Amino acid sequence: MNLSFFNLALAGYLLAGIFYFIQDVFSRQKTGIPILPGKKQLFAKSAAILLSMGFIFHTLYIIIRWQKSGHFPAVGMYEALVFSLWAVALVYFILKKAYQLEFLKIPLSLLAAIGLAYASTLDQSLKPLLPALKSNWLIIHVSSYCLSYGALLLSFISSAMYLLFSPKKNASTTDRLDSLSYKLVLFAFPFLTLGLTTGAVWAKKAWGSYWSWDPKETFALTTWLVYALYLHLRLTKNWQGRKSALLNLIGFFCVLFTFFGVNYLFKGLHSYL
Amino acid sequence: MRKIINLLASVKFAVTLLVLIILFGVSGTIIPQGLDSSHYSRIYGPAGDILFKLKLTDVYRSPWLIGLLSLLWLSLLVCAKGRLKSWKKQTGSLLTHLGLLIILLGALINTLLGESGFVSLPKGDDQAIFLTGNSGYRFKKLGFRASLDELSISQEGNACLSGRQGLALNIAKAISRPDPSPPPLVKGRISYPQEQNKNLTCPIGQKQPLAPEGRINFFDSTNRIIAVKTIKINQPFSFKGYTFYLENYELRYLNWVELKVTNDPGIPLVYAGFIFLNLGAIAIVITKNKNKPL
Repeated sequence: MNLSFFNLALAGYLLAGIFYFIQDVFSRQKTGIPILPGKKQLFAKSAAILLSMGFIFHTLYIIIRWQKSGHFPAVGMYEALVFSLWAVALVYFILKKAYQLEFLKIPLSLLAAIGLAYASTLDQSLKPLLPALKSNWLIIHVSSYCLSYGALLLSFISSAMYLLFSPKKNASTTDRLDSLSYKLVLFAFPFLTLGLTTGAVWAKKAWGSYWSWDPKETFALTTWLVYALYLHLRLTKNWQGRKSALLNLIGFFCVLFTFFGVNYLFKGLHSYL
Repeated sequence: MRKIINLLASVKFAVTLLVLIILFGVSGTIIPQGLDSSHYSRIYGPAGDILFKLKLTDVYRSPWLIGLLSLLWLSLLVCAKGRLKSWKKQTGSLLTHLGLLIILLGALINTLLGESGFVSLPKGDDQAIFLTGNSGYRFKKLGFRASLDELSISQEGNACLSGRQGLALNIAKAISRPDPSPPPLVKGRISYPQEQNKNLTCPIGQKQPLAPEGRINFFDSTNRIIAVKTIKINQPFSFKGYTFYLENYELRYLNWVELKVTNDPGIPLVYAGFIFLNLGAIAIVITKNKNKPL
């Protein structure tokens, strides 16, 4: 039952991605095969439904896992990845209207599907919670990080699309991508700050020191500083477009390195993630 | 003076500082920290000696990083002062910069006045507690002694005595030893016999991680018990301004614990700074979203 929710979520995201892609190809067709306007609508609608279904199944899977394991389901690489992907989709649904995220729908659906497929290759066994992790700080620390990483991933996609399209597309599209990537970093930054500071408070409580320069901490701080730099340059030095997008890519590289790289390359206090 | 203030206020200077701080910070994750000079000669050859002399092997306490952080502090101060005039418009930015100023001040106080140390407590014997300063190596003997009165291990499920299973690395390492003497300490960490690394699995629902609980007695100079405290993982206690954390414990005979003892007088400032920083970050998002709609 539980595993099938996982598969349904994966299938929902994958099919949504494919349907969105087909719709996108159709809508770009300027000459050649005439496409019935109704058909385009049909693809878009079913893709939107599939994406929502994927998200609902994803949510159910996480709730059931939470119930089964008895602890907040974001401990260990498998759970952290599944939860972060859920947070990406959540941020997408929250900000879709306000930030007009429509054009992120294809990369979002496909990334969620690929991410879940990769997660399914990891160790999924339910493990008892380590005594050191039994703390209310777990929920607030991990969920603020996942929300901020979710928004930063979407921001990264916007910047990457900006860099890919900027020579070709018209200015209004690229301007929107540029502005969107900034807005998403702005949204992510308070959560990034909350994650970093609650982590320090928790570390003080569990380990006796709020800052130990452990690799995970050092790279989390580096990530925070890079995005602080991004915002400063954007707001005070009017950085926009290409330069700003490249810095955003560096920021997200730091996110990925903090999330995955540190665990594979270093042995530190965060070894359980 | 004017020139110095202008330099400190410039974004270019602040950016340079941040980049340098990032580079020094990251270098400390690449170069192993805090080992003897001989280790570095072995790893890096003749370059190891240079790294050691440049304090890149103890970079987080090196004059480089402390100097850079001090300059950053001054830069933040000038920057925050500049924002005071238009604080209504720049509330968020002012709050984040004030927050960082307070955090760094707290960190400085912790470095200068903070103390920390470990105390190894075999059951029954009361031990003196020695601390070292966070910045240097002066020793200080505390005016009271402590002993392990009792150590028990509870499990939330059925028995699962599986050694290190269920215990976070570096936080509390349970160890089964044939003899009751404290295990050998290597650079402040316990060295484990090889067979201890085997993890037995603890399927959920049947077996749960171990939850050690220790009772610690404190004695004054006349050997009178002045306090009794209970300690668990993640549940430190405070006594006479010092905070005690469960660091290690003996699993089989339940006759030994190691506690980490800290005194960080800068902590209230650091936490206050965290609150400012978070409020500021939220305020920035709200004002920026209002000013420039997409």
